[in-house]
Amino acid sequence: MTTEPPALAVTDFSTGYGPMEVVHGVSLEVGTGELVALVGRNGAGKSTLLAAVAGVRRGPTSGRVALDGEDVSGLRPAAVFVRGLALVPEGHRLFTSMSVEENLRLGAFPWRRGDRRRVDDGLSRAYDLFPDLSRAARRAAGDLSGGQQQMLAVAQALMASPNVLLLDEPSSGLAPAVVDRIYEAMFRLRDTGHALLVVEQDLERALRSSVRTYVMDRGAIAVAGPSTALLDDERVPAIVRGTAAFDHDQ
Amino acid sequence: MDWRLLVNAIVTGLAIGAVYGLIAVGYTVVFNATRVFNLAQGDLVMVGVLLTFWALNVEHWPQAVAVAVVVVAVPTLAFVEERLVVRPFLRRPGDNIGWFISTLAFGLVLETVVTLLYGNRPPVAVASPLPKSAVHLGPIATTPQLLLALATLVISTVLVEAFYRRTWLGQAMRATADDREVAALRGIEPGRMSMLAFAIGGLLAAVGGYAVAPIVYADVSIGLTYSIKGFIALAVGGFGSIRGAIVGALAIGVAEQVFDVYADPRYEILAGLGLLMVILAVRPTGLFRTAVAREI
Repeated sequence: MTTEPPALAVTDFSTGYGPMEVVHGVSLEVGTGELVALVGRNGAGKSTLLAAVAGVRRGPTSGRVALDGEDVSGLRPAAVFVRGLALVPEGHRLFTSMSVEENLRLGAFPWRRGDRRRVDDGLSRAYDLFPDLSRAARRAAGDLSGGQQQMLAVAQALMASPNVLLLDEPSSGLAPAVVDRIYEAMFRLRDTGHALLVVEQDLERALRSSVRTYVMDRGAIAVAGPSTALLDDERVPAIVRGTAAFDHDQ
Repeated sequence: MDWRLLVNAIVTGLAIGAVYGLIAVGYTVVFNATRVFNLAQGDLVMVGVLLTFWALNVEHWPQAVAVAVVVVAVPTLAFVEERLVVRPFLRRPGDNIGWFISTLAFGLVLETVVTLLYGNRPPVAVASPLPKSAVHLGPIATTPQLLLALATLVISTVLVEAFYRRTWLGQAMRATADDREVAALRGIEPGRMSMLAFAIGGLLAAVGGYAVAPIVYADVSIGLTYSIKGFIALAVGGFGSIRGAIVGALAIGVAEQVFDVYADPRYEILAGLGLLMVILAVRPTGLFRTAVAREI
């Protein structure tokens, strides 16, 4: 009997900024139809890890990244994207001078030639997932509210129907009601077979929303396990709030 | 005041401004995709002018062949410039000044090479396919060459705007300018976009060089002069705006010609600089406010 490879497998992965290594030998997995959380205090290396997994390398990088078993280590961001991994970076970064619909269409840029149906289907899915965007289709992305911008950032990443979606702090700076809507959309994506890896500052939301949680501390995975089990693990809040540091030598 | 003199100065200024406008639009196309001011843009126009001179006056080739030579050679030079002297700096996040020196240096290299090949000759008139006789539009007298420069600017601008608004590649270039990293995360290759931007900038320089050659004459020194005037036009119009680049360029052309008529042509650069100071005092982001101008 053969075992299906996980949608995303990161193995012994190290990366950093310039000469400085800030992520050390991280391994993690996200399966199809799973929402997995990555938590840790500011500066733990979560965003650097996500960016490097998506191909944005800011320093020497080693280790392996595989999508459905295919090695994508060392590929540029555009090539990783085409192979089914999309990153929504922190801070709802968009093409702010362009309209909502232009932003969405550019999410399907690699399929611009001869695959109009894929683009149209992507637009329908985006507007179905976030009806607010349909009503604002012609507005400049820079004029949207923070919540709408985050919805647009997620919808743009989904235009290419990626199997794996990495979200870096999707709830950052948003009202609780808006965060609920973003998470509802993420659950829908999970239920339709997407693999989601979410960096989340709200520890309780992360643990209650995900099937598994990785806790990062000083660039390494300090604790990992089923989220339900980690809800009662006292080490997790201590590491995330910075009141305890994990001894990596243990 | 002789109104006819003033009107003619304005019309001539618009045509001269068209030359600056072609350079300013070239600057903007490259800047909008890369956040780099290609300070060799004026020198690329100079190469276009000198190649036109060489093809028409020296080799006596037909106009069509001269155009073909210029529109192949100048964008190729721009392409080489992007690969050799700009791309290494684009790859280094946070390096916001390296390209400044490297594009300026590339322009100086072009001037040096052209001087070695061409020699230090005085400005020479370049053959034009158009008649030299003046065209009279009511009280206004102008030349077909000046009208050609204006028409080249208008057509080039319409095509560039249509490219930006209506094509996938144009939108991808705008997206790259907005956020290079997110563009890459959505499958756009920023390197290809900057290459394309330089090629389009080179094409504008080529077409501009050919169209304005009979007006500006074959002269190596025009490169730096036009680089500076194109840059002043950008500052007046607002960095990042095509329309701003054109309005700024035409305004400077008109200001210079009016200054020539009513003051001293030897100091015409003061007209552009004076206009720049007034505009920036009133609107620090230039006439056309863009997100990019606000950043700067």
